[in-house]
Amino acid sequence: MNKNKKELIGALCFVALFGYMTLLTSRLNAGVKPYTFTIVLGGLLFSLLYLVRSAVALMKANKAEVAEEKTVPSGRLKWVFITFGCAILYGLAFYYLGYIISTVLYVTLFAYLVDKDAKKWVYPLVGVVLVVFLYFVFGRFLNVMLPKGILNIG
Amino acid sequence: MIENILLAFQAAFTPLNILVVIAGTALGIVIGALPGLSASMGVAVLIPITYGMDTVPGLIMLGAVYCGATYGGSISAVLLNTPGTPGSAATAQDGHRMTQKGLAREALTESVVASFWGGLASSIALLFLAPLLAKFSLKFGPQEKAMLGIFGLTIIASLCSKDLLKGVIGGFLGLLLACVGLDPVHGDTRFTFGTLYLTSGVALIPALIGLYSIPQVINMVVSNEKHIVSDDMLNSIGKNKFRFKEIFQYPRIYLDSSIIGVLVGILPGAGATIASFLAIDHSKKHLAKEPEEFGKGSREAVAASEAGNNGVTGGALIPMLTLGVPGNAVSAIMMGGLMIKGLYPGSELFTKQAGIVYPFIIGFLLVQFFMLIEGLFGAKWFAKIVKLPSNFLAVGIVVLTTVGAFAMANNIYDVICMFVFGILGYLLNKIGFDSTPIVLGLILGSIMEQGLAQASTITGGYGNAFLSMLSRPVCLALIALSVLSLVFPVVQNKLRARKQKK
Repeated sequence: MNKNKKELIGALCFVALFGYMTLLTSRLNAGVKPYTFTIVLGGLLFSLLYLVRSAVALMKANKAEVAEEKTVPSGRLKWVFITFGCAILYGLAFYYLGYIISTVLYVTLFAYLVDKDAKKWVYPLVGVVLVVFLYFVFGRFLNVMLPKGILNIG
Repeated sequence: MIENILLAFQAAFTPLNILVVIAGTALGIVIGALPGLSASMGVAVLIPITYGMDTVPGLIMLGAVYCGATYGGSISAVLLNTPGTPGSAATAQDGHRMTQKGLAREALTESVVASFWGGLASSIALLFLAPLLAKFSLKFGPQEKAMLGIFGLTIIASLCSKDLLKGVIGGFLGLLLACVGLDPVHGDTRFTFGTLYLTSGVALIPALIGLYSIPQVINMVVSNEKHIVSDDMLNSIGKNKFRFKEIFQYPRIYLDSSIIGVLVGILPGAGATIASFLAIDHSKKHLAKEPEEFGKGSREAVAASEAGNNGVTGGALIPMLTLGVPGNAVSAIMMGGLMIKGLYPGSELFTKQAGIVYPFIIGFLLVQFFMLIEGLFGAKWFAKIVKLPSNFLAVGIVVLTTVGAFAMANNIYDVICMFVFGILGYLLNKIGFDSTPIVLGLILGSIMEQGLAQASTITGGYGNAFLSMLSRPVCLALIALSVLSLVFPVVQNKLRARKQKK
């Protein structure tokens, strides 16, 4: 997608967000309103300015047929979703499966998925080393109750 | 003050604190040396770890990582021509040319020596200037506190001078996020959407971790770059031995550049990059023995750049600790780290909490010596770190951030909050938004709102509160400073653009 189009979408999102928040602010109690209104209206005003600027930039770019400026290298967009998806899955597994299983699985699978250059045994080994690190630093030194998960391991 | 300093030496020199200094400095150097990782990210990720520690070693750890990372950035700048941190961009210019000439060891030695002098000067400035400024903050009432919040937000103009509009919107987004939860005076809930989790507001630390670390992880995986340091480069580091006199090679350059760094650091928003370029310019014009060598691999230029950008470290903490105005992104994050420990910037920090803040500053001073030792004798090993595969680095960061966000309150919602802010940060970065204005708004928003609410209660309304500011000298000075801080970067940018056109 063209960078200018992305900016326009971004500006629309900001206008929608601050617009919606302005509506919500109108329902607040009188004492809370003045400060909150100032913030949301300020945000809305500058977002509208941004929207106008993005629209003008897009129109100018369309006229001049400016070459598309890529913010993500070609063919690598799927990695944004994969990286983020795996991280969220890890976050959930961390809580429900416990930190030991989830960390070893995540480190092994995701690191292998990204780059297969290292020897295969290195991936789970790094996972185990990280678990040991978490156990000693967070579990023992900082006394954090790390989640044991449904299998109650840890 | 002297008594506090002497007591602080006693409190800082404990085996645990020294261990924390050694580990934190090494960790900071590693973070700084890795291109793509920044001091801001390092400090943000470490806050949950320090949260579980005692306050003094926790704060010393953050300071050590900050200083270590600021120096560490020069390692990849010298070896790869890729500044590990933005502040070492100026070092890359001459440092890498020295490496190409086979002088990698000399460049790395100079960068750590100059970093040491810069850091030392900034620690001394922090130790003696901060208490004086803190005393001055005793005169501050609610109006001044609100105005300080506004002044703090104006550093967005310097941080985002290339696109001020985006910086301002980011700042408003941060202020909006700071409104979430209970309002500080009436106790009404705002923007919680019926969830109990949001009643206490947006969780600051998970939000900081998400904004600074997740976008970097995604970029790391997406860019698929492998940084390679040739073995020749690494071998050349160990060829010649370090000579003690190298520590005092350019005394005037160290002194002047460090002072420039400290002064730039105190100015909110100016930052390490500006300090290093200013220091190089000053040294080239007034102090260098071989000014014609600048830009072609000059050791004097590396000295000026590194002393300048490390001078910023302590300088940036002065307005943060005394007035609550963070000088840069790292000090904004450190301010968040202070606040979750229940410590608030201002005079009380130097009186009632003197037992914490002075040992922290002494620890900060100690960091400089360990940075020198670790940098001189471990440069080759730290240089090897840049060979670390990015896939392992990425998973390591995700694991640490997840556990860190969870550890704050043993709460899975904090982890979710971290990921939400992570994706928000990534999307905003892609359309040219910086995370720092959001963080500034989030941190300063609550301080500003509290000040304004108190002032409006005293004066009988928000309008009166603003009017009363006009009759208070400190407020007027802060208004003038805010206007200057807003206008100066914009004018400077326009002048620069006009110069380039010519």
